[in-house]
Amino acid sequence: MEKLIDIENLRVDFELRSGRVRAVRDVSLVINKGERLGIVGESGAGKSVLGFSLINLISKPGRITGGQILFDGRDLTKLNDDQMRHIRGNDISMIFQDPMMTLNPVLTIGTQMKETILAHMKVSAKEAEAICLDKLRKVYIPSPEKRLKQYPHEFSGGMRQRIVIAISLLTSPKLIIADEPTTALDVTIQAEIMDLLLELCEKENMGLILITHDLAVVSEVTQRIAVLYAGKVIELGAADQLITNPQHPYTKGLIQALPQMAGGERRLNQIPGMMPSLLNMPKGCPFEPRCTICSERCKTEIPKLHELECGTQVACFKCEGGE
Amino acid sequence: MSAILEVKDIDKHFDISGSVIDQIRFTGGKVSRRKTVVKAVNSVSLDVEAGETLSVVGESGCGKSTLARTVMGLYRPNKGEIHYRGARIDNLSSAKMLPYRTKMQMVFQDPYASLNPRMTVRQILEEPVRFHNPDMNRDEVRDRVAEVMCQVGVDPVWATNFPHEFSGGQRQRISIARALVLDPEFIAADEPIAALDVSIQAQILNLLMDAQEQRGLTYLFISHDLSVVEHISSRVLVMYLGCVCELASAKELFTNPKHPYTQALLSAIPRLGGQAGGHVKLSGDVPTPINLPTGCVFHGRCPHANERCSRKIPKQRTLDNGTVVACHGVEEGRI
Amino acid sequence: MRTRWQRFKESYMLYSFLRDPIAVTCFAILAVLVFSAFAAPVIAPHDPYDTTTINIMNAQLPPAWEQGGNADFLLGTDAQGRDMLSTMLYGMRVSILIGVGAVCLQAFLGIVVGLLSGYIKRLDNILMRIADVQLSFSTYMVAIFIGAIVQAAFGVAGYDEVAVPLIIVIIGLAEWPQYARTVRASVMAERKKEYVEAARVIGLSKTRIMWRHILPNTLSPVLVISTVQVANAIMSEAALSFLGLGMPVTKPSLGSLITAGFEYIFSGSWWITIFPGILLVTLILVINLLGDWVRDFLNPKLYKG
Repeated sequence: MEKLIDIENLRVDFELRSGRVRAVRDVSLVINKGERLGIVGESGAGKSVLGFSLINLISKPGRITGGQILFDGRDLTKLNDDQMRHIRGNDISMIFQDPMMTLNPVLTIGTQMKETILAHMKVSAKEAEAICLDKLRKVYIPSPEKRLKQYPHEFSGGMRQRIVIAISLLTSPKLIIADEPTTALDVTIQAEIMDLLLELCEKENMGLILITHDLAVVSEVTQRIAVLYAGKVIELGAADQLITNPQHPYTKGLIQALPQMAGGERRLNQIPGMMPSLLNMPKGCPFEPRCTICSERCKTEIPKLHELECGTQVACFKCEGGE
Repeated sequence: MSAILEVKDIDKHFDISGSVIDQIRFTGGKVSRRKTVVKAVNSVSLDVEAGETLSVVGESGCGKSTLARTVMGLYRPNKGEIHYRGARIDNLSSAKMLPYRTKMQMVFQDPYASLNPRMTVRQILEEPVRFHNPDMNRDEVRDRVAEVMCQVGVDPVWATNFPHEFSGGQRQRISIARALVLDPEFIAADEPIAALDVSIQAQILNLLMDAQEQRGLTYLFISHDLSVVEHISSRVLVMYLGCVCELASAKELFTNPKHPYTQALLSAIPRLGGQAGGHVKLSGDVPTPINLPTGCVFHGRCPHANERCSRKIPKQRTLDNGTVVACHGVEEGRI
Repeated sequence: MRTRWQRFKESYMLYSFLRDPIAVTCFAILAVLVFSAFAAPVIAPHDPYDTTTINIMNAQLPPAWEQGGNADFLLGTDAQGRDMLSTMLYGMRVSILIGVGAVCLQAFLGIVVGLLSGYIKRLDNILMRIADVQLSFSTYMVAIFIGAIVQAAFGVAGYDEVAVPLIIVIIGLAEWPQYARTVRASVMAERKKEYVEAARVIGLSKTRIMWRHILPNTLSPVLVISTVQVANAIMSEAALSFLGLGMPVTKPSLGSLITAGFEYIFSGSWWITIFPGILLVTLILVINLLGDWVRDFLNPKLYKG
């Protein structure tokens, strides 16, 4: 399998008035060509920050302070604005949560799409329009010629997200980063959009990084899942493995807390406490205050990702065996 | 068990036509006035039994939030009646409604907007108590507030803090405390956990269920999250564009859904460890509640619709097992 | 549990205020100006209202550092022989009084109308139309009109007596629609929020919800425009006085001082106009800059919580 993007020990810090906060701590991930990876975590875990930092969209007071992101043989953290612009929207596209925020309400769809094409490719206006129509058809938008002249508010939520996906496809990117693309949509529309993303990634052989808090969605769409907690990857493995056989106590707790897993009991299995504030991180394992199986070592040392026999990588001393 | 709340064939429409000037339209050389009405709730009837949890599910625009607010008296229905323990409450003046306010309370979706940012937690929780019990002295009020705070898991020592100093989960606990402080019998919960993280959702759900057990509460639970609904409900009502599609016991609905919309909805839920695709594909887009389709509101997207569905609105019929369905196809035995 | 003072010391507002050099400087200057204005009876070297101390022979003396100046009169004297510095201090007091008083009146009227208009739909139309009518009247027209009536009714001396409250009323009435609209917009936004619905579910009356729940949450924009409005009110008063419609000569404000000295600019007594002019500009500038800081601080996109 050919490597598409190789993230090594990525660190992202935020300078707040109350101190320096590390939102992403030493995250290492590899995504291969055409592979679909899900990044799962709750709010405050740092998954959106991670997604944004891949295409250097982190703005002050945030900064990438360590590690590297190797893409196409180049380290994205070392590129300047201009060089990054050539990659953003071109080789790597991003889909955000709220399509109304992504689409400019005062420009027609056609204008926005052609703008994207002309920013990255040297083609004539007619060719640009042909590409737009082609991509709109790929996302199953009916009568695309008419649609090009319409404004975003004339479309429903689901259609708008399809248009956003179409825009992200315009330059035939190698990787799509989707940050909670269906959270704002209804269940039936969500199912359609997820189907669409899956179909497109398979057809066009694009890599996909799906960032979400919804375990069920990632388990259906992605091949591998990384679980993020307080800025660290605490478990990384094949999707079906991770869901049926979670190793890390947090992953276990997360899955057990779902109503589907209550198993006939009235009360749901809850994880006590809350994710620690990034300003007040415990010295050792970040999950230690809420963990039921922790030991003394967990209070002082930070566990690293360790590969188990089944292929899953876990950051937990207990899971490494025999602790 | 007797019904604690009876909703009889209510409508709730919002007229958003605006002033006379906004309504004027030029069509074919003639000037006409166009009225724009959002038909949020259409001919909905349901009964809530004492002690049960009745969930209302549906996607955006189905009118479930409007239904909850109409039941709670925040809106007046345009048609139909609402009865609480046999007495009609939808036509009462604010003064006559006061005794019911202690019995019926509500929990809202947004933990950030449902608490007044300029009031301390103590003020937020003491206000309803003082308002309904003017003879209570300061200490009694304080004790009541402290007791309910302990019950929801918020330390009373933080009563002088402002809402923005708490996390989303804690704010939602305070919202629930506000609903519980008057010792109600009936609580309408409008998507109480939708805005929270997964691990916090479990905590809040447990809290709600514990409160129900301890106090004998009846819940009207609005949600779009079907896995949560499956877990906590006794009965489930499925709505689409303001109309009732199906009302059945939770077990019945999730194992044997009758209405085509319910079937499509259930198949679209992502399952842990499931495969993508393979769900019922609905054609077209969700229409708006402003221009309701003729006949059955779902006929445009229904895979089983026939000519009758586009003309006639299906009536709510009760099947042998108690399920209520509004569908020509089910009535005709086609589905 | 923290006391109010502790809460203030730890607050974000104090933190960001102390980090903005412009805000701190302006606040310091404003504090000095306001203090000197209200301490005028104590710190002013002469009393410009006491006609017995004014000697016409001292008229039009230049500032102390110029040739012909008198150390007694630091910034010179005006055409009547009054000490410029003292008159400016008293004048500033009048200006500030009128500015703050007018804004209080505007705010009171505007908030009441805005609240009623935003929360009670039936009153909205009629109240906003009244506001529109009010806006179409120019302040100066109103001032002439009312000034003329009062002078005709009470005579010039009577007018002098009531000049300060009269101008406060005039400027107050001229600008309340600005507040009403701002508050109305806020109220309409807050009305839809869930804590208002929760208050209705508890059974609270409309009045109580308006005053106890909605009003405190609409005050941020009111605070922002108030600082600018104070500056505007002081300027309006200065303009009115400049046109002869404001403060009388016997009770000068900064504006009337500027007017009075205008005629003497070309005859060489530049200090009679220039010094009050500089003071007026400084006062308005620091108020406006502080207002900018308040506005940026309260900007909902930047301010969390």
